Amino acid sequence: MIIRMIILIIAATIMVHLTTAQVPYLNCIRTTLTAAICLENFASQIVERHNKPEVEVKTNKELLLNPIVIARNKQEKVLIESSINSVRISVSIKKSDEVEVILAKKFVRFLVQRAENFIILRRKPVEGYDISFLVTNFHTESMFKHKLVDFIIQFLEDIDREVSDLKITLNSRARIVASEYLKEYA
Amino acid sequence: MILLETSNRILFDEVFNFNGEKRIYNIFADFDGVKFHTHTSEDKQQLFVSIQFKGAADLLKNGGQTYLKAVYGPLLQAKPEPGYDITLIIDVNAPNKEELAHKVSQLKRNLMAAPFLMVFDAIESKKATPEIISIDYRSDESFYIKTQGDNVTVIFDIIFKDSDDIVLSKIFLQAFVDVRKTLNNVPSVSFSQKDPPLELKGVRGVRAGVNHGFVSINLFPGHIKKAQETADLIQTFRDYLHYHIKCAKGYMHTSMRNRVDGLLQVLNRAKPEPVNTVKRTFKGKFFKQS
Amino acid sequence: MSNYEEENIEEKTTGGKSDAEYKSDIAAREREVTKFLNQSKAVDALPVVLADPPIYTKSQAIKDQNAAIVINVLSNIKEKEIDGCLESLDADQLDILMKYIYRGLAAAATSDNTNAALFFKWYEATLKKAGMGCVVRAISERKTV
Repeated sequence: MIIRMIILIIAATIMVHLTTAQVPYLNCIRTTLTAAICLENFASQIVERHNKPEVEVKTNKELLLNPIVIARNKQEKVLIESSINSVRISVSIKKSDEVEVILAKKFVRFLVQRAENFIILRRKPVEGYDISFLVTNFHTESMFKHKLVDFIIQFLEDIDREVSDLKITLNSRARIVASEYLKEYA
Repeated sequence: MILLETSNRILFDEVFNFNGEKRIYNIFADFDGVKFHTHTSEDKQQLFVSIQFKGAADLLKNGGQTYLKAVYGPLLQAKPEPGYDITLIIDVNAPNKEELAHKVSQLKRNLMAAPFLMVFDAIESKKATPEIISIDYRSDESFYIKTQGDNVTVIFDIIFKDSDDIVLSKIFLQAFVDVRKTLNNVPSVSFSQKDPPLELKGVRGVRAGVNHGFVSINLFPGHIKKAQETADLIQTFRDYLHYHIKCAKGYMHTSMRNRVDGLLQVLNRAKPEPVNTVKRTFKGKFFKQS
Repeated sequence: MSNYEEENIEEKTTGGKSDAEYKSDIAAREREVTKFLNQSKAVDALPVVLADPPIYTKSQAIKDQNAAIVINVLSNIKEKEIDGCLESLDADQLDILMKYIYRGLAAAATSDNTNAALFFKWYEATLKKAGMGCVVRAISERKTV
């Protein structure tokens, strides 16, 4: 009961933090992912004893589904490519100025360095995107699908929030630093 | 600690604890590529303090020699140790240890402050000053002191090696420019990336390029009156800026690290709890469920 | 190689029309839609544009052309009219609509003047009416629009 309440409280705070403009975007991604992550074990039709994510190897056209792009604008977009045994999700993060470019770059680097722990993280992003995830049938067999979707949505929220939070603190830090120094002259 | 200290703590301790009983031989560094060297004489009765600094020649020429002579008097050696620019010799029986240690620990500060103090003094007493003094104090960075009437403009040429640092420095320098407007009696600050400001037109040896930032700090008569304090502050400007850019980066990394850890927890929540398959029976044997 | 040959399958299922027929169809549809839009009756234009999409053609240009007309109609319908016009659509039309909504969502990635927020509204409303199956079909069906 208590745990339930705590979860509810956490969920409520997350909802408050969400920028309202972002909600339909994330909802849309959530449903599309739920529909796309529908995977089964599928060994290669071409090479004996191979079992590779079809979305990566792309050896058979019939195993691939229609790639979906969901975009809010030119920069904020996700690409969802599905196949019979794997889904690849690529994210492009909003970067409105050069500070945000740096912050996004740093954040992505932090994640990729921990790719070993983030089992579904792809080591290298798909071209044109900042970061990619690769979910295979082996992941969906060992993990809850709805929580995997939760994770990706959480990731999208977090990266936006982190970038904007850091930008605000960076600016206020600069102001404090500058005024402390200049005050000494007066 | 927001503002930087001008004295060197290690140097202070060395001089303060020097009692002629122990042999000392130390080399240590300070901001702006300064290297200090302290060692005792053969009979341990004298302490040699030497400093190596790229800008020393320029600084000594522009008021450094006179100012150091005034501050350190007989301690200052006419001929520095080989490989160093300035050498002080401290006797073990010197009186008033603490004050002395404090004075010696300010060696770099006094050296850096000398040209500023010289210019400030000249303006106060309405003497003629050299129009522009350029000090080449780091391997590829310089600062310039330019007098215009009773104002002094100090221009720092600051290099950022990392492309991210250029962007961050822009934010910090812009903050200096903006904050300045809300405060009274503070120097005016302006900065330009890549191209040197107009004040440096015609000055020889000015470097320019994408990674160069030029910061001009314009000091007014009010600041020039408080010569010592102003000299303290102005010489720490570059290190102050760099120090806080690094702090900001450090903060960013900590924050991202936490965020990434949080995300990792969310992902781990997706894994079902492992079912405990091994159970212990009443007799102490293990019973494995499959 | 694989025992499934995409080319053969598509050959067999190619019902519908030839590229030339599609082209004249689309031109006619465009005229009709423009008429509706001029009378600011975008809602009435919706069933017209959702009828007989060029799913059998292999030419991406024809598909793009038709998609442009549909997206134009969708962008001209007001937010509060969305629910009303979904009421009159049957399951097949909703499927086709969902595919076009996805195209609209993708369009924001390449052009600046697409109102992504409107398509999110469409998406939400269509999802509510037609359910998840609609999304699954949009992702998996070979009959792309």
